[in-house]
Amino acid sequence: MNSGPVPLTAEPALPDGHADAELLSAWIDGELDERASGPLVASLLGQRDLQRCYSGWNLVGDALRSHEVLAEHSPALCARISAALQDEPALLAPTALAAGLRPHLLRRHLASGFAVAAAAAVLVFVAVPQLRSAGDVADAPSVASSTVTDTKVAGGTMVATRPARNPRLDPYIQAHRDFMGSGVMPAAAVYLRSGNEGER
Amino acid sequence: MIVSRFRPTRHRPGAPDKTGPALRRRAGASVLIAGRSLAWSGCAAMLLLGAQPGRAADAAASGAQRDAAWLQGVQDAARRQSFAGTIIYQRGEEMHASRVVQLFDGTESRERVLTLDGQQREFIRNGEEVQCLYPQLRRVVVEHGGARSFPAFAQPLPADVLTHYELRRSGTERVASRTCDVVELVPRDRLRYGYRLCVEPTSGLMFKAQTLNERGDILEQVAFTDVHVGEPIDPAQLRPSWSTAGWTVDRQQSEATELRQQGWSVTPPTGFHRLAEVVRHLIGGGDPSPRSALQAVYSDGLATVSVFIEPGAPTLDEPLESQRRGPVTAISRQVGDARVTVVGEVPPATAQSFAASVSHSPPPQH
Repeated sequence: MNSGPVPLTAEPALPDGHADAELLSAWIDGELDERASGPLVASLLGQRDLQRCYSGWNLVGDALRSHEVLAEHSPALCARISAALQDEPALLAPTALAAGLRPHLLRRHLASGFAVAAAAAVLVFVAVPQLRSAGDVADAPSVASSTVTDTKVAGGTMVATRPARNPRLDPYIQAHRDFMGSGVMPAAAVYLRSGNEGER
Repeated sequence: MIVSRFRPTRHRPGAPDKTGPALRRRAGASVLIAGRSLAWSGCAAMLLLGAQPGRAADAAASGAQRDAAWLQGVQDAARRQSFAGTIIYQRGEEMHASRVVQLFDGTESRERVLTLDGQQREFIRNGEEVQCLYPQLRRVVVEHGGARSFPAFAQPLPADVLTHYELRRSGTERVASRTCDVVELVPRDRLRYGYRLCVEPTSGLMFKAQTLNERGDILEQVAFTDVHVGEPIDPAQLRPSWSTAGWTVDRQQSEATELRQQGWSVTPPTGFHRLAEVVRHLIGGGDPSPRSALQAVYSDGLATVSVFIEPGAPTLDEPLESQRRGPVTAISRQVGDARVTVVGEVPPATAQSFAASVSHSPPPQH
């Protein structure tokens, strides 16, 4: 989706007081019934200025959501959008408000952005150590430099490499576990550890 | 908060000892209390003498005592607090969530842990006895609290821990919506991993713990995502989800023994002390029938290592088999006709050192 040079406003230009634009926005926000909205959206997307709006909105969404998708777009543009969003997130509201959009829709746009950012942070917390132990620890990325984009997605599914596990050693690990609670780890952690050593 | 009584740093000289009989019964705790008194007499001496050479050394010593007491407080809080919360445990590629309820009645603690993902399992602990419920298999495995069943082997004290780990306080971190003190236990050698703990100061409870290798990579971590501490807990929350009537009951039993009497000797690396020596059954791992093994357990206070010795076990396909999962290293080698397996939350070289030290000579004559 290369939309060519687009003037850098945080929210793409919207035809003033355009009722169809509002409908389109509502559809993107999932506010329209899916079956009813199908034909409507098809006709909306037939209009060139609305198409540009749609692409622009998605681009902003993509910029917020994923660095990988972002790479599909013009890097310079994406960088500028990201920077603009980072520097002045409040830009979003006035521009769009002027465009006559309902405020709660904009809050939704913003909220989803922040929610995605929060989700990314959670993923970094969880996924990074997961990646690093998937292979040799030495090859793993460091926490500081890792972001959610380090998570490799192939064919739409997450690839999880598991280290070879020798089931012969399971009984020993089970038996060892009986004594592990004697350190500073909370007792519950001992049971958690035992959770996946295999059924006996 | 119940636990504040057990936080040794709050103990004032001359104040009545409110630690309670249960805590005092524990050899480790009573020695620690003695240590604390020593620390306080040290402080008093310093006050009397005023500025004297050696004061810095005394201060350092009392600092070490304070750190040791703090660590003991964390360990005690894990047993002596009532709480209900959700714990996330993550190791390598695995992540698990569990619901945990613990009720401490002033003498004994009872606990129920149920898994929230993967296989349904429940662990019900009453004092030292643990029932592990496997509903799919309609099976209960009854275990007794490991090292705590063997009072003959005192648990290494935190004072000893700090000769192998340096305790560093490094600010605060928010965990489960509470501000926690962050403490790093940095190993003083390469024989052990490091730990980073987030401890909630009011309850003394550990809210998050991470095990780190020498590069600071997280090998495993466990944290509360939400927890209620010190609030009344309905005992009904401790009841198992299923009636176990008609289920198979396995009793995991081990008997104290002495490796030396059977001609075996293990020389642990620096800082590891013997915790227990038992004979036990090993179940699973592709073997249809349970088999007997000697198990010797060592700990440096934070990390625990088990050495299993199985005379007459089938010879290993490979001279040395090993496996690493998160911080757990498991390694097997053949010693004469016996299979020796070392399992512990230690770097591979440490496990290898344990395995290499195992030797057999004819048992002493009586």
